[in-house]
Amino acid sequence: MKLNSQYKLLPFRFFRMDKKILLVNEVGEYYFIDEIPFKKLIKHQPLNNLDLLRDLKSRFFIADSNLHEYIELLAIKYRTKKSFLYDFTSLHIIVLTLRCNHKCDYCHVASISSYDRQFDMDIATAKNCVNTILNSPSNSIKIEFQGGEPLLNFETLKYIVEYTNEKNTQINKNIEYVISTNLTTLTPYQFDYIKKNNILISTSLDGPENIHNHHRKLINGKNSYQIVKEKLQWLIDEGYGSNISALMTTTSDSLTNIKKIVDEYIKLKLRNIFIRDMNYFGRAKINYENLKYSIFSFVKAYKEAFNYILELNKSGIYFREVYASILLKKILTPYSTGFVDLQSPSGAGISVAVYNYNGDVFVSDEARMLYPKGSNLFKLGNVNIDDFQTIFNSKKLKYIVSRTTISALPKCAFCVFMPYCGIDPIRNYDKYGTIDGSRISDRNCYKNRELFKFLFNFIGNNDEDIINIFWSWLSNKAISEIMITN
Amino acid sequence: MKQFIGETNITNSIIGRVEKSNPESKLYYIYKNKCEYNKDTTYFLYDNSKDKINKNKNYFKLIGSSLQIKNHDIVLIQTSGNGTLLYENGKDDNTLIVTHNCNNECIMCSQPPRHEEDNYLSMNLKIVNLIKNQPNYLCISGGEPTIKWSDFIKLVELVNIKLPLTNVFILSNARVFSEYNKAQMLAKLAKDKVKIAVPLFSDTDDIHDYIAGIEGAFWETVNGLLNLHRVGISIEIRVIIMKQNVNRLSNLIYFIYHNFPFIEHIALMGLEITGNAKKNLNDIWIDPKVATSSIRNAILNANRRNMPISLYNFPLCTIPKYLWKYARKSISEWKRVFLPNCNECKVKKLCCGIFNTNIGVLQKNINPIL
Repeated sequence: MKLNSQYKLLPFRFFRMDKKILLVNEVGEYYFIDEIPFKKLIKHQPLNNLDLLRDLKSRFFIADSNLHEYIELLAIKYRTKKSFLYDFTSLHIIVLTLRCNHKCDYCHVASISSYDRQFDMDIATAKNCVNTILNSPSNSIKIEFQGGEPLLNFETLKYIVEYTNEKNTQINKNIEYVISTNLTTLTPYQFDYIKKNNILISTSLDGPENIHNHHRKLINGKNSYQIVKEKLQWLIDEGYGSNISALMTTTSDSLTNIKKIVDEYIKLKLRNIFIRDMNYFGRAKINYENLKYSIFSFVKAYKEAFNYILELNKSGIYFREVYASILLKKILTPYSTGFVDLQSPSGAGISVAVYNYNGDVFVSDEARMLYPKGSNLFKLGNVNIDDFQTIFNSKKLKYIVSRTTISALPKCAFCVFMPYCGIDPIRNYDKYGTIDGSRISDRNCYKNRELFKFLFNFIGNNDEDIINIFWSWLSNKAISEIMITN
Repeated sequence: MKQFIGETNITNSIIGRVEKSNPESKLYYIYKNKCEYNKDTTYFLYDNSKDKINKNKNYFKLIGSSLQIKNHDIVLIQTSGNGTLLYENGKDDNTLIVTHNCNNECIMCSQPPRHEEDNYLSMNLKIVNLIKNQPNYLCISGGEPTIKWSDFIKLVELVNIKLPLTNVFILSNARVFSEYNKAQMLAKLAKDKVKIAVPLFSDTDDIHDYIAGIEGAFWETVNGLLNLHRVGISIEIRVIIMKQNVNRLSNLIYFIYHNFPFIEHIALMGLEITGNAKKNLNDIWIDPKVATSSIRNAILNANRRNMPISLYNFPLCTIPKYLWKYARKSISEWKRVFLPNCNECKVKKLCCGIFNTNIGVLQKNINPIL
């Protein structure tokens, strides 16, 4: 056998876990290695263990011949991981209105409690939005309706769906619609339309009644929780459950009740939960003093919830934590995720664009909160004035992309989790005044590092049942379809 | 291929299609070219000892064979009276051999390459021209069919023209396709009807090359797989399980997933103990019982990743029940046997049976499922 110890190292980063050292290569393939062989490896000393050598070759940490082929394959895998760049902007968020029937204290977009329709998107602007969106080179377009509460401007929503579908008969893109709604004003007529057009529903549920209603307040003083619950049950009874996902915003109230929140989701027959850290923009920024909690307590609560969710899955209930699923997809598969908030270069503008009610185009939802008070750095143009090229081929956007490639950022460049991670230039700008920000004691950086470590501990322990659960989340298959019972 | 013998008065060997003279008659003709009666090119085939032979005409009479030659089958008949069934009508596992030569020397090869010049092109073209009903599948194999490149391409080309409804299943080690333009040429000819099955023995070059018997084979196959995907040809990977690679099956699944995520199907295959496999048996044989946990874990890892995977050539009684649903009836009828006690077995109908060449080694493992 020609296998020998004359090997070259391929690019990788490492991190000392509890018992072993985690290696991650440039394309996100990982390996756990013991301390002694690790020391030999980095000193290019002979590795006597044949199977270790084979493992390291097979997972692209070393090459002992055919370096050209190793690099070629790494390049293919790198392109696959970065395939979101080929697609260009595929998520297009349309703010149908700034108005909302809720007045949540943590609202990151600062909705307006008004009946004034001047904050609604008009038909002419909607038409220009669609024309701009369909100019995107991406074959798969996701149009997400947002607000405020988008149901309050349903006529424009209908116009957009119909005009898009009509235009699409000539260009044949895959178009997917999502509506981000609190559901409370949903009428049977609107639901019929949503169903007919296969519009996915993304809604908000913070947990049991007291937690949900504490922050999510209806302007008319009614019980938001009760109404959301009724509407959810109605939609699920109508068989629309698999098209609904719910997000929860973590508040200091939920930190100590995290299991109860999960129970609430299960009770309402939801199949997944996205446990989100608070996003201190808009009204949440104004109310920061009342709303603040430490990221340490968030991570602690997240882990508690996660372990609880694992137990539920082990007992046969299919239930998915969405953020973990996104991180696991990055770790366990050769693919990219399409999750725009954790991308390098950042997804701002090149993966997601936000169209405000008045036609202004921003690189993200939070970006419009910084305008005009803060900065117009993140405003790319206006669909009523500018064409696609002016908006998306702008110097501004190129500048953002060039500054948000994390392999070139301090700390990130040497972080073992870099191949999976990303950056949020808007948050950085708000907090640090620069789009590349800082990773020293940064909230997001801490959260992501902790969650990566947490997940890698499970992966390293390689408990068959837990790994099966992870894959069931990624494939949307029941565990029974994956497992092999002896 | 199935062989038969008979008595004949022909003076040149012929390839022809068997054809009933009329629907009621038991008399068959063998048509050489055009499918119409012609006294010089039509031969009479007798498959019943009671038939009265007209020795004034060209004839072939089967003797002592249980083999049934059916209407529209294609046969080769030599002056010696030796016959070969080249193509069976109505079956989807007919194989055309391009050459018996190969650029690998696999230690478990059941049909070891012959190192002598051969030429099957005209025979293969004749067969394709004679096929009456387009099959769903036709297999092109070897040796390594692609090393006689122009013969291989001419054959694919003719199949494409003559049998537009037939899918072509190519068994190849894909090394030749490490030249991109060859992959491209195949794709241009018949991208949509070609599927290629490629043996990949391990996730590292040292094990693969040892098994393939050629240094450098692994990386050429890797490049071949990439090129075939680049040109849009669909690929199945075949892993023959033996002592050298059994412990890295899960690693191989991981390697395929990350480097060739486009692979449509993986077949984990048991050995056929003949040819080199028989010669090297002590070096390569792994008892199915010992291999079970590796196979199980490989299948689990494929399941997790949504990769379709099957087990070929494993009699059901040699693997645990939880793996049965992955086992396919993969052994061709003419190579397959069952032991007498298999008749008591409840799952015989679902079982691939045993390679007739494997009986000696496997016998002790064969126990009817009751």
